[in-house]
Amino acid sequence: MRKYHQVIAFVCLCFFASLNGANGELYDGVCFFKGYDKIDIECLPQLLPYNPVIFDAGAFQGKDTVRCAKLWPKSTIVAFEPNPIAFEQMQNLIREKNVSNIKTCNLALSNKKGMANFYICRGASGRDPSYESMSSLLQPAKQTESQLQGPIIRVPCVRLDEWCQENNIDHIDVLRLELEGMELQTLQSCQNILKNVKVVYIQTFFYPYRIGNTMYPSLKQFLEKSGFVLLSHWYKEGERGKAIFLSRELFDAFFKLCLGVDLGV
Amino acid sequence: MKKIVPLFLLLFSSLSAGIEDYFSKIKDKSGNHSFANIDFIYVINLDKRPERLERSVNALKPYGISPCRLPAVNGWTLSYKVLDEVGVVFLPGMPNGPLATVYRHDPDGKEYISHEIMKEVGVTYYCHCLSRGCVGCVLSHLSCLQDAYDSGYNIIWVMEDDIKVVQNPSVIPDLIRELTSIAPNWDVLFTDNEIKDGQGNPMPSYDIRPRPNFQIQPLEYYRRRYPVSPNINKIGMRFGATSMIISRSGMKKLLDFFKTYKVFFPYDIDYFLAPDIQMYQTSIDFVTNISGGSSDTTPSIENMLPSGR
Repeated sequence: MRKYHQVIAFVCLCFFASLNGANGELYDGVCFFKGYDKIDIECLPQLLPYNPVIFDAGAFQGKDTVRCAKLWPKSTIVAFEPNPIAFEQMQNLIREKNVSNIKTCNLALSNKKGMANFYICRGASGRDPSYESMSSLLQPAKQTESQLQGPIIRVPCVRLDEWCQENNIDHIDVLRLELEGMELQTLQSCQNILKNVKVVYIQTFFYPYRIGNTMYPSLKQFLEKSGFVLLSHWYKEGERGKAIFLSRELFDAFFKLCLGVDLGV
Repeated sequence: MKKIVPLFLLLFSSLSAGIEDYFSKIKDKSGNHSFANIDFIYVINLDKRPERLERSVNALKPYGISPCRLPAVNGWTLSYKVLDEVGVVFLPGMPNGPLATVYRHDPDGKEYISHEIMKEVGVTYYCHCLSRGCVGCVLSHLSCLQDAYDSGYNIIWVMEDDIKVVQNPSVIPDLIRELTSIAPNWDVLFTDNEIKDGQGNPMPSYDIRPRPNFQIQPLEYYRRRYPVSPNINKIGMRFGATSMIISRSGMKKLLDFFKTYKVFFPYDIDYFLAPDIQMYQTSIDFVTNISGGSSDTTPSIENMLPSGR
């Protein structure tokens, strides 16, 4: 019971802060969640039901998707990955790990339905597959073009609202978006389902790597306007980061009604 | 309308199974378990913790104090039926509540701890991350109170089995007399000045958490604390339930509170919410908790074994 008290006492010290972390990374968000060094799904189970609906867009080779499946064995996970090679690797991993609660879709989430260019990134040489996680629907910007070399392929795209409607999804507990710059456009085009999203776990950018690259200030502004509150954000100044936003309902249910702490946000 | 909703909630909660159905009973109360003006002394102890019982009994023996063992309710082995009945059920008319914990399970009994916003009618909720062990702890304390109340005792001493005797506890009856003369309506007297943390430092309580089915007083009400004599302080809240002297009025207030509002928080984040409860603590430690002692309210494989009650 005393351990419980210590946890409560610690949580009661929560406040919003900008703090320096290891490796020059910066933190912005509720102080308590800084304890989860770097942004990580490990901090989410304490905020979610045992059977969450998780959408993982930009799942790449599925490593984090499989981690989610293990963390929430009763979850329903939908993983989107447009890169056909990464998609196959994800399917192999799912088979290898014997995970049954992941539905995979070889699609890109976007703001438009239909076929689109997909800029596969293989680094400056254009031949290094270890950079493929940085592939995107967005064309590289002039200043980064030399670093983001690789083939261009055509991939099918869907809008999240339409996909959810067609597949009878009425809520999402965790929406994880790693779209290499397409985050804001994608969110703006799925405002129906966004009303029923509890957690947005999202890539953030402070540099326009690509043309039309979502920048963090406008992403934050949009999410706040859509009823989300920043929980946790680790980032490198002038580069990129990862953030977790909670729906206002979940944020208040945890901080105000559960812990009795008003963070004034 | 505002008056009807609480009435409805109260009526509904009184119709559901009572938490008293799950209280533990003492099989053998023979022997002398009284001490001066204390009618009966209880020590709460899990069946699988004989060493803790022995240590507690031995610590008190030199002073002629002999507590009677109450077999603790082992929350880790409680059935889902019990968990569903002793916690706070969300009812129509309640506002959406805090993020709370629900013990969900498969038909085959596999358990899932689920953290959900309290809003589904008919579902039983506990405060966020409340362990099964904490549920058992509350039921164990209430078992002592019910036994004492039914037995007609006026003053009891309830201890957990991690006590540490710091000063001669033989003076406690004198402190009770002193308190009775100063505040005849006292309900609870703790025999220490705050619970101790792992390093032995006092761990005062400063904050309260909202309880979804109970209107709490302003924080200042619980934070008030002042000396009523050089030996005794009046308090509004604190942590810990290791060693409590409880009057008959205190037994009733606590039993009424928990029977009406059910289990939601750990016992010591809840007991001070009982309406009009008059709590005091000694200004120095007589009997307190062992600092850094292991707890049976935190999850462990051992706690989940069905050996204990």
